[in-house]
Amino acid sequence: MRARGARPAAVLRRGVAEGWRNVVAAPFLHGALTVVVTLLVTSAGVADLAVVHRIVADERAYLAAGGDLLRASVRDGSLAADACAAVTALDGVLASSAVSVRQVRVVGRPEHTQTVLLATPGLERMVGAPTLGPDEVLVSQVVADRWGWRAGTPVRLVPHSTGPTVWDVPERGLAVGGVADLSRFGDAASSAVVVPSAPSGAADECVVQTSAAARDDVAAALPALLGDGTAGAVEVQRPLDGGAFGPDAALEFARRPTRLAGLAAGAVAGVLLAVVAWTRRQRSALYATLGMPWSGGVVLRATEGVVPVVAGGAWGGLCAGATGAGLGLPVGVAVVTAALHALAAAGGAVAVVVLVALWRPPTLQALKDR
Amino acid sequence: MRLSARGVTVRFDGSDAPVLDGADLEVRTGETVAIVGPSGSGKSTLLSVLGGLLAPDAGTVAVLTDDGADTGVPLAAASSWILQTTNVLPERTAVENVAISAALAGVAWCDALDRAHAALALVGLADRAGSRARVLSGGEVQRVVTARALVADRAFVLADEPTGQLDSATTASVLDSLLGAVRAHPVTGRGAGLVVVTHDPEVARRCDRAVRLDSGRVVA
Repeated sequence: MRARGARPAAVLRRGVAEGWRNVVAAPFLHGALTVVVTLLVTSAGVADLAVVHRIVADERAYLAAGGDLLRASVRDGSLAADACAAVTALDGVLASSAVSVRQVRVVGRPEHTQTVLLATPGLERMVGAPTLGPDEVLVSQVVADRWGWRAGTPVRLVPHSTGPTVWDVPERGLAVGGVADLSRFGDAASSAVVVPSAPSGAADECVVQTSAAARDDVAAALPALLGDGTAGAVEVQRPLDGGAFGPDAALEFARRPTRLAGLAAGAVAGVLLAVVAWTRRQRSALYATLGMPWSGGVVLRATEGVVPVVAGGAWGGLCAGATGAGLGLPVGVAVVTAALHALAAAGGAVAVVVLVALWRPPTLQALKDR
Repeated sequence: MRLSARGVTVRFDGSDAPVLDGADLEVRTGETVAIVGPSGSGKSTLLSVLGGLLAPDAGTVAVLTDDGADTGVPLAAASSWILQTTNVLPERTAVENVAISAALAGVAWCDALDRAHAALALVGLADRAGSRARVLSGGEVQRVVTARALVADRAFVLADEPTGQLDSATTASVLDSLLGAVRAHPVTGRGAGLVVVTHDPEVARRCDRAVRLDSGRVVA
């Protein structure tokens, strides 16, 4: 006869081994539990990913419409291009560009008046276009589609035959350096050609791209930075003014209620597993009569509960991540968000499983139920 | 080796009189003892105390050497159980239900299965070893439980109405298996001690001796 108690490590090993054998011996029960946990985790993940998708889509639309831009101009006047370039020193400013609008003609297109934006370095960064060389221009998608221009296409610009022209057109030929959607700078810019200019002299307006959190502060600071000290001289406009898109997508993302969906799913799964464990409590008493110490019984019951939680959590995370990617979210966002929900759900459910496993069965009561 | 209970007293909350009142009982390995008495006399309670499932309010219970020295073996580790209720894991096979007892005693699972097969052969269930417990008859389940009690290599077997739910023919065969296996204990090579609570006079007759409980005391 084996005397004394077994070593703790041996007791734990036996608990895990016997718990695993019970799981394998009851495939329908544990398979059903796994399916339920999978559904709970998937539901939680998909619910949150749908909200994330909306936030991301709203932010994309907001940015595409110029929501992150400020446009400063001087009433009946111009502002200094170098002062506009210096705005990038402010906290929260992502890029700035001094812009002037001109009308020219394109060689070979005599009947067409082409809008040109003379812009200091920074404007191309606002649309994700490559930095332009000295002889390169950035062409709007509308113009590129109209004339069939692509990167490398030679372009020659000449002054407009009528109307004010205060710009010396370069004698040398230019080439298309990139194509981008310029509609976020306004209707006129949507069919414009951007020509780089030096940050000196005067400009019609200063376009500033900011982070959402800094927008108000930057807007308040621009008049002092760009003006001559005369009150009301500098007007700051926002293409979009909050509203339906929401001014701070990052804040909305951080505070979304559905970020807790995984924990809620884990709580529900844990309660379900607790109910199942309660219906199987006589088994705990049986193991006690077979010599299983309480600690081994805890490990056994925990093993039986953890297996469907881990399996269901993994599958649920995969399903939720795949659904998120299918919604059009970036794969990284979908995978990470789904994984966090799966981990939260599994962690919550495992916590409940372990708490229930700690219950000490009233062996006498459980066994002598006649 | 002896399982010794001295002056055991047990009181349950809400009851005026103790369920056990200074009960004494001693069982040796290789000996079969029946505990009989009217309902409510404390038979099952005494068995629970002997098996370490219930701590007495007074008195001592211990596993002693033949010389009377305390072995220090925990009561739960000294005894295996055969109960009236169907205490098997229904989704596990008969051989697995038997092997669990040995595995929890530290035997490797493969060896435990070998022992379980031998124990099932001893009780006449070798051909049902692979059947899930839920499909076994009442008598077959009791034989599984009997085999499980033997394979754990415990010095004592405690049985609470092991034939209570069986017909007379099945009772006789289960009793033959139980008494024969306990006395010979060929699985482990030693004879175990058997304490059986029973209302069945035939079971009591076939044991080495019978003790009678009345109002919580051993009277005979």
